[in-house]
Order: sequence, then structure tokens, then C-alpha cells
Amino acid sequence: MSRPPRFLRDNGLTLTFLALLLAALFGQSFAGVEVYNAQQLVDGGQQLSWAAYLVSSDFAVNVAENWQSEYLQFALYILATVWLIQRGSSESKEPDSIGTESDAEQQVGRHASADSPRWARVGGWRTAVYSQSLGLVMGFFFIGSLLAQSIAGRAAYNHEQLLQQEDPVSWLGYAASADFWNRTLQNWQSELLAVASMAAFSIYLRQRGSPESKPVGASHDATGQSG
Amino acid sequence: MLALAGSVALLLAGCSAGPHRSGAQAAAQSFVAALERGDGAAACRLLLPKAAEAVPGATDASCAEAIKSVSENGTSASSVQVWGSAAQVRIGSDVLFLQRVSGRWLVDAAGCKPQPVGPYSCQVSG
Repeated sequence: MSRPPRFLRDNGLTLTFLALLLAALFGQSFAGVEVYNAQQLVDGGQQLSWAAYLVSSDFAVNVAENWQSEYLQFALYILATVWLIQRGSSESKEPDSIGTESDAEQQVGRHASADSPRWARVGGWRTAVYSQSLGLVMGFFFIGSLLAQSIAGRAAYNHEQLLQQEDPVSWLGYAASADFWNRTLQNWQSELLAVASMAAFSIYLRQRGSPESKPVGASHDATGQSG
Repeated sequence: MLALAGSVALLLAGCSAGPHRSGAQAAAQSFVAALERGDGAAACRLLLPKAAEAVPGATDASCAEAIKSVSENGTSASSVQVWGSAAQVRIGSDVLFLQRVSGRWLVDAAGCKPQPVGPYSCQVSG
């Protein structure tokens, strides 16, 4: 069997999940337009073609509400695992590593190596920012997609309000509405469940070969090991 | 980069349709003007079919005759809101709801008054 090109092998994880993302979005758009048009039939609104639905506020809010919760999950997970541990979990640091750790352990400044990222070597504000960059970017995309959800959600909600001969609401009104918080919290609960499940399951369960699991033969008490 | 581009696209898709405001306003004002001058036929042409069928008395008389009983106060639009293919136009003390169908704005409900809770109460409602 011929080997895949090196680029595909080296980036297989990202590429596979990007492909799955596009496939899921594609499928969601078809299912979504069917649901939307069925509701429009009930409300007496105008039905949309698939192409028109792709740029509608209904599709936008349905995508954004999921994206914001995913970025929240990772932002919280990244930040929480600095300070919180789960003994026995592959998802946790060991108890004596709680906190931001030493410069030597983090290989920054004079402890950096020749192939360390430049901003890890230079010190000052650059190293400080780079040291938080993962959480910052996840947080940025969480805020951005939450904002997108609020804007698109308000548009979709107000469209339904008008079809039902009710007043549209302001952005602040929508941000305080049951519709916004129902969408938001139903997504948050599932993300938080996933993290809690992973932290707990990885104590006792194994997946041979996955870096998300401890080695199959590692003890249940072993913390932070990757298989 | 994909996430950033996606977020921008989502933001743009969520914005209300500014260019359609004038069309909704014009349709609402044409409807009210037709009622003012007693032109029931012109007013009915600006109604959604289901709204025309729901005009009080339209089962016994034609829409053009029945709609003359609908009263609208004022002809100048004080506010217009458009969200997707639906619009709300305030004219005088009344409110009209419109929908855009095949590129045309048509009246879905007219002579609407707000209620303490729930939807407006309208003289004509599709």
C-alpha cells in the first residue's frame, strides 16, 4: 500500500476534521432549509431556496450558536486545566504542576531552545502574550461567535415575531430573551458535559494509541499520562 | 482563519435588510392611501391572498367592497422595520405587517393595535 503524501500524513488530524466540518455544515444546510420552510408554511411566511437559506439569519444563528459553545468549551478547558486537576485523568496535569509553572518548565526566555518559537525566546510583553495566546484566541472566537449568534439570532427571531404580528426586539432585548438563552445554555450544557465526561472517563477507560488516553496498562492513579 | 471568515459571514447574514425598507414603506403607504380614497380594489391588490380572504365581510361581498370598512389613521410612516421577508410599518396610530413575496411587498395584516400580551389585534389579518 502506497504511503499518503507527507503533507496529508502530517496534517491528517486537522484536515480530516475540517472535511467532516464541511460535510456536517453541508448536511445541516439541507436539513435546516427543510425545517425552516415547513415552519414558514405554518406561519404563512415565504419559503426559501437552499441557496437563499445559506445566507439567511436562520442558518447563521444555527451555526453560530454551536460555534460559540465549542470555543467556550476549549477556552474554559484550556484555562481551567492550568489551575484545576483531576487525579487519574489523562486530561489533567499532575498535582505538583498546578499553576503556570516555572520558566524552565515552560522553556521561555533564557530557558528556550534554538527551535523555540521566537516570541517564547524574546521575553517581555511578547512572551507574556504568546504564553496566553491559545486561551486568548479561543476566547476571541468565543466572543466573536457569541456576538454573531446574538446578531443573527435577533434577525431570525424578529422575522418570526413579524410573521406572528408581534413587535421586533432590540439587540439588548434579544440578548436578554429566552430565545437567546435557551439556544446558548442548551449548547453550553452539552459542551461542559463532554469535558466532565472526558476528564472522568479517562481515569478508568483506555483507547490504545490515542494521545487522549493513558497507556492501556497505566494505573488508574496515574495522572497526565498520554498513550 | 476559517473561523474568522465564518464569523464575519455569520454577522453579515444576520444583519437586517436595509434596501427593502423603502419597498415595504411604499407598499404600506400605497395601501393606506387606497383606503383613504375609497379604492377598495387597489387596496385588495396590495393584500396577501390569505389576508384578502380574511377581510371582515369578504365571505359575503368582494374584498374590494368589504375592505372599505377597514380604517387606517394617517398616511405617513413613522417607523419601518424589515427583518428578512417580513416588515412592520407604523402609520399614524396604526401598525401594518407586510411580507415580501416574489419580490413584492404585500400587506399581511392591517389596522393593528397592540395588546397587553401577545400578538397585535388586527382588523385584517392573514
